[in-house]
Amino acid sequence: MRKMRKYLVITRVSLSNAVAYRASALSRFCFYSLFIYIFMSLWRAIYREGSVHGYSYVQIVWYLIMTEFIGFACGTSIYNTMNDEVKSGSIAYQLGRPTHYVFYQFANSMGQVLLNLVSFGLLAVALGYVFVGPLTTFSWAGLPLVALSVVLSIVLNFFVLMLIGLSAFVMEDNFAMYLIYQKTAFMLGMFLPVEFLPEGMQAVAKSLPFSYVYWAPAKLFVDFSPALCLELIPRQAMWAFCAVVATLVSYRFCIRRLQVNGG
Amino acid sequence: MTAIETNNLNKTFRTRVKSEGLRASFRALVRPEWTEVRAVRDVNMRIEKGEIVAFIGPNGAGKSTFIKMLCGILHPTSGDISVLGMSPVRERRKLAMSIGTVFGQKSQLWLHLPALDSFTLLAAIYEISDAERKRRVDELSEIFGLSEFLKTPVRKLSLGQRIRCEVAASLLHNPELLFLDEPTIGLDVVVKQSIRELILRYNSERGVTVFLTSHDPADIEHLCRRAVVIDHGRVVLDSSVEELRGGYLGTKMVEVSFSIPQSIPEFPGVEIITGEGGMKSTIAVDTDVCPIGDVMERLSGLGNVIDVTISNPPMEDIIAAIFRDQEGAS
Repeated sequence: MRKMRKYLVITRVSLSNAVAYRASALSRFCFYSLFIYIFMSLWRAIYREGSVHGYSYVQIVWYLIMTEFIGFACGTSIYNTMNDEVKSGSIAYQLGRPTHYVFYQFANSMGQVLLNLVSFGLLAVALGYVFVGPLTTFSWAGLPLVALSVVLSIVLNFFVLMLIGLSAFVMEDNFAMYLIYQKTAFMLGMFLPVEFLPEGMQAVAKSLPFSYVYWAPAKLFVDFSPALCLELIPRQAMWAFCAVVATLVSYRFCIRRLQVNGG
Repeated sequence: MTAIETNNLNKTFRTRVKSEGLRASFRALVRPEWTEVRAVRDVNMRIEKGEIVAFIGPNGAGKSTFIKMLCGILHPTSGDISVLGMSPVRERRKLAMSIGTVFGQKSQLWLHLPALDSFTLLAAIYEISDAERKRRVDELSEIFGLSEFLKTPVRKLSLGQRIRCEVAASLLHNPELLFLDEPTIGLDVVVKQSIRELILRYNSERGVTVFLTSHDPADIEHLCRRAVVIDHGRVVLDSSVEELRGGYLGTKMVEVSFSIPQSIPEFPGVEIITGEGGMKSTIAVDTDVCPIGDVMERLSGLGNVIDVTISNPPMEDIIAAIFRDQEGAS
């Protein structure tokens, strides 16, 4: 029980720490709002009437609000944190403690994520109502499953980023790997729903983990159906599980090859 | 009882090398070249419980790498390590419960939160109950004089206050062994002295083993009974600080300023290093031959002294002197 408690306390302290960055949160709120406004204007220019690939204008704006909510609120800077820790040598403190490094980082990141979930969640709903009004296809009954999908998305995104971050233990520069992940996820769901891709590409996108970070929860949010849930959530869970296992296995490999700067 | 034991310990890093110039940069892109750096070479060491040992050497000598292997942070390339009877590689998390670390140039405290919050976090990490945490924080707060600033965000503390919190944080879980990697770096003389006194007090009251690296000879003189000198990853000297003091640490540098150009008369144990006959001179005093008080008396007797600064010779000079003697002996 004490072993579990330590990770909860880490999250609690990191939440206290996150609250200290008020100016940063405010600037992120502004950037998020501006981003939504610009892309909403773009979609308005594209949509004259009707729907595109099954998404109405209102749905596509709420889709955008949801994917950006996941990106801004649920995204973590774990990749940068790990790179900085290896380069500065401060990783020595993290590794010198009676905690599992991977779970320590997860618990530590969740403080910021929890704060953002609430604050960005309220902002996202407010923006959606102000910009395009209520989402008529939203299902209150489906909300718990959408929330589960968001949680799986957070876990998947975190562990993929941690996997990339772990490469800093053995590589001099891992920015290219981060860029590939970020841009692929952007194209396969964050910016465009997978249905907007050419048919052949859709199948490829659905067979890769990237779409399950943004597309799956946003699709469930704007177009909920039990059948869609049964299709998407197990796949998300499978990819999240694979990411966790891959991170733990990689950690065991990378820790043996770690080179800490400054000694 | 043995606290630390290493046998033929080695650590080799693989580092990329590149010749100078643009052409070499492109060549390295296609065919990168690597070199092996042996950071620690065949180190055999045994430290008993309760000892305070100085581990000294120039920058890049392998001190921090050695400490990080003892903590289980880095894995050795070859050789054996036993710390408090445990293998740092296989039992890192178990060992972490019994050791404390301070890396003087890095912080383990949360910058935007009061040190008290960091203590709460560390207490949870080390599985200390709430009642025990409160007792330990009160105790450490009293020993280290933290009560005034425990609730102040760490980023607003002075360096001296922060280091006191860092050392206290590393002692929160009552470790049997303390690794201090340059704990007094950047501190002023008064704070350095208070940190040393705290470490000594903790060692004598609790029997905590202390493994210290420092570039300040005064840390070694005041804290340690044994010194191990390392260079290029190899142990070049392992002796008592008493012996080291006799040979190397007994020398003090005295910088003296005069109101008019002044010659310093020769006397035993004193060597004029720079500025003979000028307004400012530096002399090296062998305190075993001539106590520093006698030197001050003689300098005052000259009548024209306006300022005097006494310091230890730089660690680099001490190590260079050790190497000269080692080479002479071989």
